[in-house]
Amino acid sequence: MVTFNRADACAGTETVLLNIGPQHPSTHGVTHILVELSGETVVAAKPILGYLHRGIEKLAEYRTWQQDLVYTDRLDYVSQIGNEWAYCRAVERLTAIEVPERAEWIRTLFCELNRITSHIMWYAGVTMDIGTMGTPFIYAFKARERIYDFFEAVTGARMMYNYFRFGGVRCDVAPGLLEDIHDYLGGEFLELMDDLDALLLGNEIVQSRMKGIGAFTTAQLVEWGITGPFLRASGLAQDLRKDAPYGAYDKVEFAVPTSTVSDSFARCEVRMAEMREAASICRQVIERMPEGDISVKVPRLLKPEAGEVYVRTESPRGELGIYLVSDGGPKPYRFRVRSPIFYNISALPKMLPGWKLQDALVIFGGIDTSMGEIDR
Amino acid sequence: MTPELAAIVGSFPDAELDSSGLDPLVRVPRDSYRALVAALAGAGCRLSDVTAVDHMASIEVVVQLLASASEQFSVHCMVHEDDPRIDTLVPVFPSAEYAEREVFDLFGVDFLGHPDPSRVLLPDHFLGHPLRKEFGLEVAPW
Repeated sequence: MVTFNRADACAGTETVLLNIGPQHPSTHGVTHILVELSGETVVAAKPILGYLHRGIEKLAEYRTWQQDLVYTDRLDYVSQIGNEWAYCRAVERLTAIEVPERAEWIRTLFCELNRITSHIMWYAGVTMDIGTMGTPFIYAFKARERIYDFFEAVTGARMMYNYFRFGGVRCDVAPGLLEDIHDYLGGEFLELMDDLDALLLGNEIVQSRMKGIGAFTTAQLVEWGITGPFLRASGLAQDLRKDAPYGAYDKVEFAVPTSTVSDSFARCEVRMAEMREAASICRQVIERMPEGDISVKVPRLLKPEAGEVYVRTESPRGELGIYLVSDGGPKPYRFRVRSPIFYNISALPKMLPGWKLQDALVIFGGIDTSMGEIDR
Repeated sequence: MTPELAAIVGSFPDAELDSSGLDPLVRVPRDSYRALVAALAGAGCRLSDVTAVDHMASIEVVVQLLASASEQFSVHCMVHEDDPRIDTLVPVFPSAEYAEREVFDLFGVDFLGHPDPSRVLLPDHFLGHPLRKEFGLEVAPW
């Protein structure tokens, strides 16, 4: 029986549980965050994961090493090339396959193009989160469409590329296309980036919504296992492309954008700068790409010697690790994906309390989730 | 592996350093598992990942650690299938919380002292632990 208690009614000490998601439009997929609110202030938060769990790590144990390559596209489905590369590098390290020079440069080119399209998805998501109703999002998608056209010309697909192979890439890039990419990234793209910068960073409403919101120290972020642009916006220039270079990253000039402010706005600045850096890397790669083979011959049924390997790469969202165990058979004994966003989103219970609900969504947007990789 | 970290591993008589693989690998029994990882954390190692591998009779908990931004190694600890319990790493590395929940969810390893020992990817009513080898693809336990 409910009795009216005047003290409770007036003091307002009751908290409210609010489900954000699993299908809330601002959650970038089927994210579900359970937040406990006192008034408008978050007192507790818990991400509830698994809505997109397809058991990829289990399925991979039932397919051959080559067949598993297809699954990697479907992990983080906005940074497909990055996943393919991580898996290829792991298998190549396990089986000591040497990748030809030109293939490494082609991989670097497409990984960086993919970083741009992935950050565009973040841009779309984070601007929608703060209520822009789509204008910056549609502007950003102009660039995404153009870059997807380039991907389509090379791989035949707009999203699930399946372009990398162990020991190289599936097919070479037409010379004319390389010039097109170079021209686009050096001209039209940079003009669009100026617009995108103005719409996001130059926007007074965005600044008032984001500056000072979600300010965490580097020590906190390291303790919570945060990697990627979120961590770099706190001033720590941790980037595996510099720290443990792979591909052609040690042969091109690029900066690792950082900020010392470590708030939601700084995370935007870092990602916008990363897109410009990625375009610069792509242009250098095209200018200096060597001629030569694009792949080496690899047995159709690959049977790596028994052993294990762990390889980490810098995905657009942070440190993407692939851990493989081989028992000498034609299928992986264990296929593990260390998802950067799984770790990043697991810090939400520590990040959100104390912030207002609308600020919590801004902080969440700074994580740049991709549920396909969190739930696997 | 740096001499400093190798000395820490050497100070645990039951821990064994194996440098024959691609990356250094430390095998440690369950009793010294958390003490060893805590000592390595004290020397500045960072956590990259916690996961597991099922070897039928036993489950191998694998902790990927970073000695520096580019140097990685792993700590492996076997737990028996009939008694799949191991100390949690959350007091040492708070970021291990969800990764350990995932190992519990998919392998059925209990992490003693874990702040939230619950499933993370599968629903709470799910039966079984799918990354165990005996859990075949054709089996739907409900």
